[in-house]
Amino acid sequence: MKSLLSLLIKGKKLRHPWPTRLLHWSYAPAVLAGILSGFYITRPSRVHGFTNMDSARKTHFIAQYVLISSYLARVYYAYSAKNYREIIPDLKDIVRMPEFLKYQLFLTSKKPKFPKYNPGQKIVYTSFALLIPVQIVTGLGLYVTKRFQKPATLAGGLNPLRKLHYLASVSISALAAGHIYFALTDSLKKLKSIFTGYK
Amino acid sequence: MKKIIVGPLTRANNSSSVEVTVEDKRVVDARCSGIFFRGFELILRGRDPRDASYLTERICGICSAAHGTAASFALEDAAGVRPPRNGNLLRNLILGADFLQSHIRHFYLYSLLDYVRGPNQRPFIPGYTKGYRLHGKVNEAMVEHYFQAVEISRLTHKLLTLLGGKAPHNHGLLAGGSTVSPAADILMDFGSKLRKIIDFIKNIMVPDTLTLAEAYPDYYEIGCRAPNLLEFGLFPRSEDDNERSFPGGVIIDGHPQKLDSSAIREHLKYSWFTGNSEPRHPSRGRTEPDREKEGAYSWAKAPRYGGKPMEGGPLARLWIRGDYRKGISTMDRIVARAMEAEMIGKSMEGWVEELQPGAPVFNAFNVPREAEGAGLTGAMRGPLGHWLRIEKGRIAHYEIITPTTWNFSPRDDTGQLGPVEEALIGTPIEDENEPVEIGRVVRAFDVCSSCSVHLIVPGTPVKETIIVP
Amino acid sequence: MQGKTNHKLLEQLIPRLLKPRAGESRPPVIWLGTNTCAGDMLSLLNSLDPGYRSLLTDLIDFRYNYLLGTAEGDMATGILDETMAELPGEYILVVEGTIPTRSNGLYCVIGRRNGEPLTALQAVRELGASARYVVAAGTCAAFGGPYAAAPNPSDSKSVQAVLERRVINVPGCPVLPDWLMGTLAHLIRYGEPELDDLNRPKLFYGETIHNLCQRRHYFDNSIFAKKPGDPWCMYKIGCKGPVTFADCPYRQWNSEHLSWPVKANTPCIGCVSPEFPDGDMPFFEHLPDVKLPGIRTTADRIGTITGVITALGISGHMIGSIVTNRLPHTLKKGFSGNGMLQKLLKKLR
Repeated sequence: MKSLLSLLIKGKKLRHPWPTRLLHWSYAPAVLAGILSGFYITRPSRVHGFTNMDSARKTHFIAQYVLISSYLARVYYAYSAKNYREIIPDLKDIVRMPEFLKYQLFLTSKKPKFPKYNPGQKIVYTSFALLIPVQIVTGLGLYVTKRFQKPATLAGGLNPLRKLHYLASVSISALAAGHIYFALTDSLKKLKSIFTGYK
Repeated sequence: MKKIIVGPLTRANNSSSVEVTVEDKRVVDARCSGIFFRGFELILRGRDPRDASYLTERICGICSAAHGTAASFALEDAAGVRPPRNGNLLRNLILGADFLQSHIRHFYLYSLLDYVRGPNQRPFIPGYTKGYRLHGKVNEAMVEHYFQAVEISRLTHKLLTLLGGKAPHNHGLLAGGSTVSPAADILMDFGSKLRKIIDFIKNIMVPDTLTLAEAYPDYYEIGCRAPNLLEFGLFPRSEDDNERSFPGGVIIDGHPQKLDSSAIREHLKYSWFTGNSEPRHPSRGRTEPDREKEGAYSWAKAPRYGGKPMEGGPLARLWIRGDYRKGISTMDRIVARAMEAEMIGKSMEGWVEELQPGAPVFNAFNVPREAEGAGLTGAMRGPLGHWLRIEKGRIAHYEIITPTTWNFSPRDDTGQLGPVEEALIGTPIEDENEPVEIGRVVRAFDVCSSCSVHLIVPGTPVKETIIVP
Repeated sequence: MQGKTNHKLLEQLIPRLLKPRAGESRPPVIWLGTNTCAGDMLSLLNSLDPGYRSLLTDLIDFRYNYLLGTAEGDMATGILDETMAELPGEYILVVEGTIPTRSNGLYCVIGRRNGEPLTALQAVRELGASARYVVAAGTCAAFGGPYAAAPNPSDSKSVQAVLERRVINVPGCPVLPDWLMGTLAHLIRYGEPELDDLNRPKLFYGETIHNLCQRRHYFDNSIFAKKPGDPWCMYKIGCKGPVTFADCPYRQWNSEHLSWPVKANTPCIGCVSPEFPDGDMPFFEHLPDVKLPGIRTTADRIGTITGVITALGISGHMIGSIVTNRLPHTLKKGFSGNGMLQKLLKKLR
């Protein structure tokens, strides 16, 4: 079956197994919808693609449920398939960081080869993995405010909690923008693989 | 010779402490202490200038609208914005309503029990047993008026609520104007309540002060001091603020002079703040609290105008305006307060008439990045000033000099007494165990230590970069 | 046997329930003012039913009140000692104001004892230890409030922070008379009310201002006020209603239920919240300031800076990629391989 599929799409190497792809395409739209509706909620303006608070909030809530479930599934998958090692930067990445940066800053034209992900990707994906729980916790605090009043005092109160949620979302948005840019420009083969699984 | 300490001096907007030395049944020395400290100016630094009016209202529960007004004036001065016509009138009405509230509550709830025996129940007992001169039906009627005053003062706060959302600490005082559009129903409600309040002041409060004056005529001779008076002017007549209903001015030894705020100096020798340097203008004050300072006895500083201790309040305002120049004594202060309440009530009726339903109430403006402004107004207890400096769009320096700072000030560097201290000297004390006279003299100034004890304390500058769009 | 026990229980309960009625043995109340503006006591005077007079004669025995009591000086302070000695475990202690702890509490002195200053800190600790209930009236007493705002020059703390026992918090700046009167009535008639996580009576602080707001539909439909004075939703000019728990929109101020800040066309500033005022400022902005060591800025500014840096980074890299021929190369490689894209493009052609 697998080989048949690979024949059919004429790929060479399995890069993303189906759970990775399935989860990627469930949390990617959730994050994007969350960002856009979130920016609308914090500063209502048609620029963010919504016309009223009601639809923005509902979108945000649906995105929240999708994101939480796919995030938890992704964590479970990373743990069970042990593929978190592909994402978390290790010593080698630190050693090879200068080489990677040299290329990205156009100081050398020689493209360094990395196993699956380069150090930049690893940093971005690990940041996602760390920032999304922040969003989930602060977001839930603002969603079920009543039960979160006391824990929210740790952050200084519910209104300061809004600030944390906003700052984390700003970071996620910046990382997501970078991620999309590099995905589109770095290698079309790799880009293809997130759809088909094969490079 | 005997020392008497009245601390806490209750029935004042927040307790304070007074210490007098008595010799041959007369006060020969007096010290007034503010006994708590909060440091509001320190707290204001780095905050959004627009927040100052709501935040400074929280300095004082009974005169919060005066702080809101001064803060609004200061920011308007800095931003170069004026309120629309309605905005000015609404703000006058809000401040006016708080004046009525403060004057009524002060006279009945704070001051009256020095002269009238309260009902035989707590918290009216325990109290002093001697020195009350009203008896029988007259005393009973006064007690009845006490409880009526509670009801009427509740109405005054309702006026604030109608135009400012809540009271105390209303939301209707902002740089740029006010916020409630004066519709017919609100004006009718406001006018009707105001009518009841004015009736009470005219028919009950003013006659009651005269009853007191008849029963205690010696208080025209007690609590006297030289006519050194100061006022900043109250209620702008128009949105341009060219003229105030109660004009500002200075009286030095009975002679009217033009107000020059650069003649203000603050003395620190007897205050719990570090530094015994030259007296400074408030804008240059740089001090830190130090409760252990040797020789100091108050959290209030000692402001002086041209080196003189100045008194503010209804009596000073009426004196400067020329409406009342009978004398400067305890009873004059009480009578002037009631008279002023009646005059303000009348003015408020006029402002209600002037309001134009549907016309704008608020002018939007941008907070300047660098600016300075001063907000001077009359407050219930005297002259109130807020001085503001904005840097990078945020408050860099904020100073507040409240009326009670003037009135209740401790000694200055030259040893000159503060106004209340001056007034206390010579007060006869009938019974040293029940010194009811001290409270009478001090309360007539309507001291408010909520306000007095947290002035100009910029402290050590905090090194902090402020970046604001 | 069982019937007898029940009867006994009832015998004990009934007088308790009816205790404060009929003007006899009203519970003693001590109202202590510490570092305060007196706004909460003044607000209580605004109560309509019961009014102040009825409060004194029907509901409580107002033994000590720093603002309205006749006694002054040592006579007043004596009442505190007397009540503690005579009625331990019976009186209700109401504290208004925050408690300074700097210089051993000398930043707020409420009287004198044996010729020495009696600090608010000491008084609250002593009175609180043997009170039947301790009520913190107003945001200062409940959570610290404006005088404990940064940099907190007097090291002020909430009542709960200086007491071991449970404090019933009735915040508000000032407290709405109904909230306080209602809490007192509940304590006297039915005992402790149901409290939330922050020890506030759920009766008054159980729902957000936002969820109770009359202008909620303006919010849902994005009809926003642009400046104070506009009659729409105050969200965009900093309304803290969504993160503030109180029933102002229903109850309204004061006791005649006339208005409240949003009805007066101004934003809610969250004055009942534990973060008030630091966490709720700037009052007219949606998000509070971001404070990092040595720097203070707005959250919006951080968002803008991050956005600009990201945009510059991406466009800079893109220009670099084009100039160095990297991007065209990548694209060419992607399309010239025997991948799906090429086939797709072919088909499309």
